[in-house]
Amino acid sequence: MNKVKGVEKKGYAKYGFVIFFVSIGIVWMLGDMLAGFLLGYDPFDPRAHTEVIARAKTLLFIFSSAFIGVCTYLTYLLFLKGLSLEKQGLLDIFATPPKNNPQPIEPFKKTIPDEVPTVSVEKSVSTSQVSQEEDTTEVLVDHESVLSPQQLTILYDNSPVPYFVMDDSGNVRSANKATMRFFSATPEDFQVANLYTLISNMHRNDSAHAVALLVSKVQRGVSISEEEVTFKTYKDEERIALMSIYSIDRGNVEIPFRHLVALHDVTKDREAEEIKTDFLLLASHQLRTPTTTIKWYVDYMLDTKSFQLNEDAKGCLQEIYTANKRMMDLVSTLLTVSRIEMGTLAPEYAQVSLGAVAEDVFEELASDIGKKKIVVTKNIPKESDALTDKTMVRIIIHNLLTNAIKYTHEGGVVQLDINDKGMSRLIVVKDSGCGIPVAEQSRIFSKMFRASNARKMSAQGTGLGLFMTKMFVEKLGGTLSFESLEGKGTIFTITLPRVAPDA
Amino acid sequence: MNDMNEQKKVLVVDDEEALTTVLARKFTEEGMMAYTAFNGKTGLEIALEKHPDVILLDIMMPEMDGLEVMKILREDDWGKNIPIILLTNSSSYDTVEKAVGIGMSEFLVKDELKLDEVVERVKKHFRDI
Repeated sequence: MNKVKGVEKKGYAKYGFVIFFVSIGIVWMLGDMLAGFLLGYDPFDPRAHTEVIARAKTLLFIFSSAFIGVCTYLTYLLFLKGLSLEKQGLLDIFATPPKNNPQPIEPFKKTIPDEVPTVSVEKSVSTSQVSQEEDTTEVLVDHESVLSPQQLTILYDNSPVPYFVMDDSGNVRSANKATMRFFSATPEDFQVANLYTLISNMHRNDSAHAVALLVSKVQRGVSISEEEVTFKTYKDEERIALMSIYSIDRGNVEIPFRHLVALHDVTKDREAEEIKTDFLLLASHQLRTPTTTIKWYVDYMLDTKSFQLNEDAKGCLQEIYTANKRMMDLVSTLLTVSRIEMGTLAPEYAQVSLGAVAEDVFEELASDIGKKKIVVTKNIPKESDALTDKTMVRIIIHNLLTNAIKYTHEGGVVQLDINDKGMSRLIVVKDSGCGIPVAEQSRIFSKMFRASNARKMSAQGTGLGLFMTKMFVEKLGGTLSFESLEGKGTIFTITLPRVAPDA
Repeated sequence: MNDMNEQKKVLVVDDEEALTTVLARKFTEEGMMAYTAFNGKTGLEIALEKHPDVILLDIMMPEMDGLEVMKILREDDWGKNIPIILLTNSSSYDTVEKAVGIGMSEFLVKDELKLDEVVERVKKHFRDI
């Protein structure tokens, strides 16, 4: 408490000096005049200054200084900080100092020192209804510490984090203001509140079981850290929070409200996530439906002989088909990228034969390879399994091979090797293509970036392929590197762990 | 079960009318009898009245969604063994899981298939009957 006073005074120190010097001046004059008046001489007559008078003046000076000093301090207390001090209990300096009674809480100080603030919070909150003499929190407060129990109470009460304490059966006490706001409740509502009845849903499949598990954990005093829980407020709204519970070890002493519950409101975050997901769903449904309609109508017109289309019309339809296909690919790429960024793209692990995936991709790209008369070399071992995500691996290999083919001139060479390197599989894609200019090499994995020579070679491209490839490789615990010489070719090297770290 | 020469009946239920129509035209072209419905409720009524051999069902639809329609059909004496192909673009894992639980026969993602591939899948179910 002494510390606190020190802190309070510090801010007003400059005023203190002014008051001090002004006081001296006033007191000197007052002393002179008062002495003159009392002793019957003219204070402005230098002859009157005898030794006796000088002594009397000094005495009067000291008394008046003390009087004015006390008055100044009291004025300061009452008018500048008076109200708030009273509220904060800092005027306790005038009350009897708290006694050091080693009361029930003493044992906990020794057993779990980490929990000391919790104890004092709980105690000091409850002591607001109890008389000062029973205040045992002093025992637990380290006098070296900055926090007094009263300050702790203020912090607890006004903290933006919802806090309350509860007993083993979930009965809630001492809910702070943030808790009231969280539950849209009044202090009256919380006089009979029970945590378990406020829970509307635990974020698990089996909600009843989850609540039962929570109750048993609380009773055993097991700490709970950031468990996601949906609560029903007093206005019947749902609110989602990460709930943490810290409990004091009961020991031999009965201490009913021994659990401190803290909530972290994540309702807004969850809503935002939901909106993002809804947007993705909307995008996927609303964009993919029309593109599918176009595709199937073109299919239908090309396949239906009764239309008797001439070759020219068929060629036009084919153009529509190709353009539409590009749009569909773009939509699905954009969706994948959004999913990566939202972190909702979780890999599904299975044994995947990298060789088989590569063969499959080559098959898909066979017509492009044929058109450009590209010479393909494949070195795929018999055994090339890895526990990884097949869709992602396919996209990785697909992107690297399409790039290799797209940016290699007619009659060029594309080579794919799958090897082992320690506990990893190595996928190397080599081409004799246009290469990547040195100045642009550092940017090739950024989103929407396309190298200048790549843009010249092919107008098509989103600049998302390598970005996605890198994201996937990293997600699967692998690494991605490349060497490139402009005009000569590029080598991409990927390592993928045989067992993905998260699998 | 069915006479092989008998005209096969297919029901297409999808709120995207143009898409439903082109599928129906294609099936007709292939010698089948095609029924169409543009929402789940109508789809269910036609299914229970016409007893098609295969049902193609979209998931996201007004009135009653595809999963609900399938659920009701699976509780019906006639509907419990009928091939139901879910045809959708929202291939979220949750949806697929739910659909498997209710008893779908096949799950097709629209934009991954060509029109004649859809026809092939439907014909495969005829052979299985």
